Amino acid sequence: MPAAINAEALTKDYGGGRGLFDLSLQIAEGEVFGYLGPNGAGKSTTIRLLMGLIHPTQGSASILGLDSMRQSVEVKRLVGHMAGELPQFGGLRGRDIVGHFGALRGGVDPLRVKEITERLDLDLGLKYREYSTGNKRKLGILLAFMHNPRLLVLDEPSSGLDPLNQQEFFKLVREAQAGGATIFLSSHVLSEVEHVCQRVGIIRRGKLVKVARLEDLHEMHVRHVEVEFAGEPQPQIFEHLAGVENVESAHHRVTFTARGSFEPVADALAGHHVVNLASHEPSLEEIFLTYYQDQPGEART
Amino acid sequence: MIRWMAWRLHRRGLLGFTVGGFVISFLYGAAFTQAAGNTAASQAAFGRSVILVAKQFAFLIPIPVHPETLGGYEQYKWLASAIVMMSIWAVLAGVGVGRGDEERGLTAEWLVSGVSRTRLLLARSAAFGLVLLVACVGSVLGIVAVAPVVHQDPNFVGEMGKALSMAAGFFACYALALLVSQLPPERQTATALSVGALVLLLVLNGIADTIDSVSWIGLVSPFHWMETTSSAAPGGRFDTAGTVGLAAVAVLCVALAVAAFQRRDIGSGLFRWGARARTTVRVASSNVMLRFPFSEGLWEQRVGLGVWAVGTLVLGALMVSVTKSMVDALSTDPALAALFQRVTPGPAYASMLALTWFGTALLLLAGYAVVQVSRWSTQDQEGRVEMLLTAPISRSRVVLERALEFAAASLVIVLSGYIGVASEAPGSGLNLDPGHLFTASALLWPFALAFGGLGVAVASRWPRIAVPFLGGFAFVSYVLGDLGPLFKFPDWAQNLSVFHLYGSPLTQPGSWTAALSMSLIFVVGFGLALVLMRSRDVSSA
Repeated sequence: MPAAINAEALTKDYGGGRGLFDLSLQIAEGEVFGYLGPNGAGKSTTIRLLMGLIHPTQGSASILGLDSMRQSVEVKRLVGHMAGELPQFGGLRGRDIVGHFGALRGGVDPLRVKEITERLDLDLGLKYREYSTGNKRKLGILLAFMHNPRLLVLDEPSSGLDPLNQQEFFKLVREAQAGGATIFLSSHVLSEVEHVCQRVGIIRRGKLVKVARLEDLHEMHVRHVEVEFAGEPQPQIFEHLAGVENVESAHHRVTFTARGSFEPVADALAGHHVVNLASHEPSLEEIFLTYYQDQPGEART
Repeated sequence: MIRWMAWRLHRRGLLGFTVGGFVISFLYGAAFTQAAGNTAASQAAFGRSVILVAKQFAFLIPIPVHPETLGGYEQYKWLASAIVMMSIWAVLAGVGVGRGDEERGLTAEWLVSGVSRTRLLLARSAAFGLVLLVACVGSVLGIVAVAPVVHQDPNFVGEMGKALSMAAGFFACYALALLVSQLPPERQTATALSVGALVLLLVLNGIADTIDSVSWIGLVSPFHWMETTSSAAPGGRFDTAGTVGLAAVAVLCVALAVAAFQRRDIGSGLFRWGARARTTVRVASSNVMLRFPFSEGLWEQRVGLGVWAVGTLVLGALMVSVTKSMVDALSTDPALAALFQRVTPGPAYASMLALTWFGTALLLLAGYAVVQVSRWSTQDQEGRVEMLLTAPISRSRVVLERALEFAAASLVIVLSGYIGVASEAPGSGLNLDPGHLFTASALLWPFALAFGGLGVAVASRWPRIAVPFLGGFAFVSYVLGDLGPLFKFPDWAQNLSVFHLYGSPLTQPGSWTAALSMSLIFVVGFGLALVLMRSRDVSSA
């Protein structure tokens, strides 16, 4: 069975370090994949490449076994796409927009349209310019889901939705997955993807820097450690330990992060008068922030 | 900051009209001696003949003042056309400031950044007023620059007076559109209403210039007050009261627009009718017009297209209704009749109609092509094309559907004009050859298609520059068609003008080669669009 999404060395170079570089990624059918990155990291460029809207500088991508550029029409029959921002439709009413795109797609079940509009409480009788931001997002969700596609490519889908509608949206995603669909969900906030995704990819400055299962990220042995000494703090005993970084001291306390085994830290503490030792794992949000931030001395791509 | 932005948003129009105006006025000036001769006697005779002919076209253009001089000739030949084109620009700018910025979200951004509504409209209006002044000065500076070349008086002060009067008139057009734009809730309707108001004012001025008994109705038209200043010609008059009056009306309209803008909500019209009780809709529209992009495009612009069609029909009928009286008046002077016959050989009524209606129809259709290309360009930049391409349709289909949409819409306009002319002609005593009338009308279609073909080719690859490109092409094509015979350009050079390609099929046998050439431009343009659309990156970002 072909991967739902298969990108090989996919690159779009806009010059000046902007674009997407050397993306190799496989997403299996039925998977819900979160694609995370800060603004301008290359998420929308990736989606445009997958949808065949822009031409890769090099590399290729296939969707459900079809080439995303050469077979883009066939690809889009199988895909439901939600853009980060819907274009202007001015005086057209919601029902006109749904009717138009439904006719272009074909095979849209009116009952499915009715069901989704009821669940999201979306009124298709309003003119597009009368829609609030949230209602425009709901319209985008409807356009993406209404034909029960095999692959959903969603660009920041739940931003702008109130909590109730966010929950309804996540239910739609889970139902689609239960029905066999694959979901590629792009976002710059972790909370948007952690409800539904099994795996996440983190992109920064156009490069995929990490792909991991959510629980794997949790299990990364990175700890924030705080040691309180009875006397003067002894930061120097940690500075050269393997896996120890960011050593700081103030008053009687020394703080640092420790990766991997805790044993070297425990050995270093032997013989010192320690009055308190605290160690905790960083939150998932903090883990993501470490990937989002520039590394010291890192040159721009 | 807001003033800088206001200037920046009009930079293309400023550059196009200032530079274009300068170049065209210079070229027309350089052609003066070709048309009028080099001697005082030949220029005087030329001036007399121009006045005699122009009197018959009072509906369209003001009676020339001293056309035997460079300034008078330019005022009749170039500035009269420039006034129509620049007033359309001013109206579209007024709608853009009043509604376009709002639909693009710019207005809301400015308001939330702390700019007051009053300051926003005043800053935008003041900036456009200055832009107009610079463009008008550019349009007459070419006359001053070319004067020494053709040994004529530069008449600098007079030309500046004319520029000032034009700027005041265009500013009034802009302000009127700005005010009208406050009424409806959307740009499309605001454009239709504002352009409709402009056409009405133009027609009222034409009627006032043609029928003495109702000449008073011209007083409401800014075109009348722009005509009362004729200082571009040596010995012409600068109408201080008229110019000040135009500026005052403009200021009043801007003030009313500001007041209306204060009262209304962003995204809403000035008047909000009570909300009708209606049930929530949960089903998609089954409108068959929405099934295909081309029919969806026609459906979406149905009001605008209706205005174009009805306007063309009415204008065609109107021009037919005044043709007989024009020709009959011309025939009372044997010298003039002979001159007219020499200029436009063929049956007199048909020749006059070819000059008036078909000359106007060509400009209308070129204008319609520019409007369509502007629509495609906006849709592209706003992300509509990107969204369309996420549906399972190919890029080629997008281009083909655009071709179909344009062909269908322009055919509706051409047919409307034909119906207006053909239905009015018998009642107005015009005995036109039905075959020639049909051919001349039918050839308007490939003429429009040629512009559509060029426009879609550019819009498919470079949507941001498509409008200035096609507008510039139409302008150059028109001027080339006009100046080509004067400068005795070779046939191949004159045939570069689509206006020249169309010819005069109402009085001379229709050239099927020309029809084929125009159709070929359409086919090549759309073919090119197919290739360009396939190779580009589609992204609104």
